[in-house]
Amino acid sequence: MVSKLRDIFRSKPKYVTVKPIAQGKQEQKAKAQVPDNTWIKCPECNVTLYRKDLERNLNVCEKCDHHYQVDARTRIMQLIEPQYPFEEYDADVTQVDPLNFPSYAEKRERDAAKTGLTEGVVTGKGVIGRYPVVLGVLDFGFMGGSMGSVVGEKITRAFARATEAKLPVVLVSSSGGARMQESIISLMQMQKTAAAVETHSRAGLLYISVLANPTMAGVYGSFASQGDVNIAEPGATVGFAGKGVIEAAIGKSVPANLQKAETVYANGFIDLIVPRRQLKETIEKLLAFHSDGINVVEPVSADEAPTQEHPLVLAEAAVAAESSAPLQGVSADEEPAELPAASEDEADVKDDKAVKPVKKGRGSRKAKAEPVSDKSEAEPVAPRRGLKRRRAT
Amino acid sequence: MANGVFEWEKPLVELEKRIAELQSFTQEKAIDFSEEIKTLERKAESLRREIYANITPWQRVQMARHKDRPTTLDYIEMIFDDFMELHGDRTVRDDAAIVGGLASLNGRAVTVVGPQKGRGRDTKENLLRNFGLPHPEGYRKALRLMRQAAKFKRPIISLIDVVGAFPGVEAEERGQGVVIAECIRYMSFLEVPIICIITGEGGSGGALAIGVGDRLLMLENAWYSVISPEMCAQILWKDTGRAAEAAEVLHLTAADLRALGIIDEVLSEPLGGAHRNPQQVSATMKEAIIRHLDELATIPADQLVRQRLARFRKIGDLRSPITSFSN
Repeated sequence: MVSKLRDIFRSKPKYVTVKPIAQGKQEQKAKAQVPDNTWIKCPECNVTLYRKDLERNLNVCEKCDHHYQVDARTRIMQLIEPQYPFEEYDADVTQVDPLNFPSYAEKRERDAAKTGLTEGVVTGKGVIGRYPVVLGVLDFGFMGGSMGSVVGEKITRAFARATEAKLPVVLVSSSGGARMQESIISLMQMQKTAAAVETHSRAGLLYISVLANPTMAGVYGSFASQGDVNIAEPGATVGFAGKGVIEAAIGKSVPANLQKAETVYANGFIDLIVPRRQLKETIEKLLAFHSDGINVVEPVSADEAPTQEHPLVLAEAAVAAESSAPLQGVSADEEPAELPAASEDEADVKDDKAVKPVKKGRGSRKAKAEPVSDKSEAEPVAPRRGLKRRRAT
Repeated sequence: MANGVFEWEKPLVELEKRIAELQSFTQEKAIDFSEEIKTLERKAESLRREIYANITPWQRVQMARHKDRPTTLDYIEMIFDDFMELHGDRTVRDDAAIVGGLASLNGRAVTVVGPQKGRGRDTKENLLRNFGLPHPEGYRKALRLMRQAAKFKRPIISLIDVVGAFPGVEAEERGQGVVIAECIRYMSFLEVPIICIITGEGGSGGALAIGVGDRLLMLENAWYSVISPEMCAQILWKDTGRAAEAAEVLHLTAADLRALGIIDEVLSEPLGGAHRNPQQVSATMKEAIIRHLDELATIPADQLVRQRLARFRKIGDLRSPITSFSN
């Protein structure tokens, strides 16, 4: 069981994403922090929760239904079928600091160590229900999930691959917007991603956009608002300009719920508000509505390990081979301004709502659930149970 | 800045004052100061060159915001033979912070769109224009007019001068982010030539929403960035007073963006800024628009769109890493 869970991320070295060194650090830190992480206080209702219970409940408070932010890997585990490999795309795509922006390199390094990721988005191919999909998840822990050149490029490539393979895209956003530290280059990623959405759309393919807390500014203003179906998690902050920027511009306070997902839903920009426990089944249902009945996988017993012979693996190998060729489809505030950039500082503020240990003070972000692949060492059954429990409901 | 004079221009203004004094002396008292005047004029000229040779990015930002800088409607009037403004987004209302309509350029029909600031110090107009900060309906109108242009195979000229999309309660309620995303998404695929010129401020998504084109041109003292220098300074150092430093690190000037390969051409302004000689700047813009339109007119529509997509696609395409850009 332990090895099987790990295999979801580690089955094929080609798709392995976690840098061995970063992962090693992560494991060490995770172990060192276990005592601090055992109990977590809910920022909404102040109830104290046992961390493992919280994780089993998909990081949703059992008392008040507060939806904690989840990191990219945990989110992927919550959505995909664990018996199929998740074949990550472009894990090797990283970028030097294109403008030599002050303290950017340090921040990237810090967040890489913190999250075990190389950048703010994880993309790849997995199976949800019986449907192969291209799945992308932004990780708020990496510079506020902000979009710079790597995030923009990986999302663009994910849509391009989906277009080529005729697959739907499921993209889970959690981001403060475009990344300030790459200035104009970040801004241009808005065009790349929005155009990639349109190219995918013109091929008649489905795009499900999931808006998790928060989805703002340049990410909302490019691809996250553009799903064929937009799904938001309850209570997520969704909007363009930051609240502080609006208040500075108009000189008065704005309604607290202005950018709550429920308000944005009422205003007509979101199709569905779906609690995390129903998210997977809702996505499955949408995929079923749009399925041609051909591009589906046969149900595989949960105890059967992924093998090299599996059709999905072979299909992926073909795509990987093609992808070495150029991708098709995408051919070749005194001043009032909208809030385009997620600074870390913003991330700091918003991260307060992330899972936080009771006894540790500010800045203990390691309290956020570690990647499942790591967790499987210590507590292999937890994520599995999470999946089963959800399915039982 | 007082009376439209920048702090850094003060020595120059002093000099110009003395020249004017001497000139009036010459007339009134019939004393010949022509030698002195000539010397002072030479001095003024070299001082002007000196000042503007060492202009900082932050000074350029201030020039882009100069109260007398020509606005979109000023340029439209000077560049095009005829202009008929069209109104409304067909959903909510007409947003006066974005103007658009039909124009004639040497007999060629084009569609022009652009954010509109209040002209000069006219408070009433500034309020009408919401200080040039568009609501979603402004962008929706721009997209409607651009789609209309594509229908009738008219090229699109987008004149961009906007600090950003308006951050307001109604703007959020009516989907500012969604509309900007739609503009970017659909403008990318319009099958007509699109020329975008940043004439003043290019503030983030509010500028990009009407900034996806086949040619991106920029006036010499315009700026274009993901965030305003003030907000950047606030986030980086919690101090809007350090906007000058932020303007440096953001690489927001026309020259920097040309070096980064984001824009195609820098259009020169007279020393001191576009407001010193609006006719000259308009003539420069007009020449560039015609030249680029002539080039683009030869490209078949589908190829045009492919080239446009490829142009943006390669920005941050990490298979061909961007050469590190040093200060």
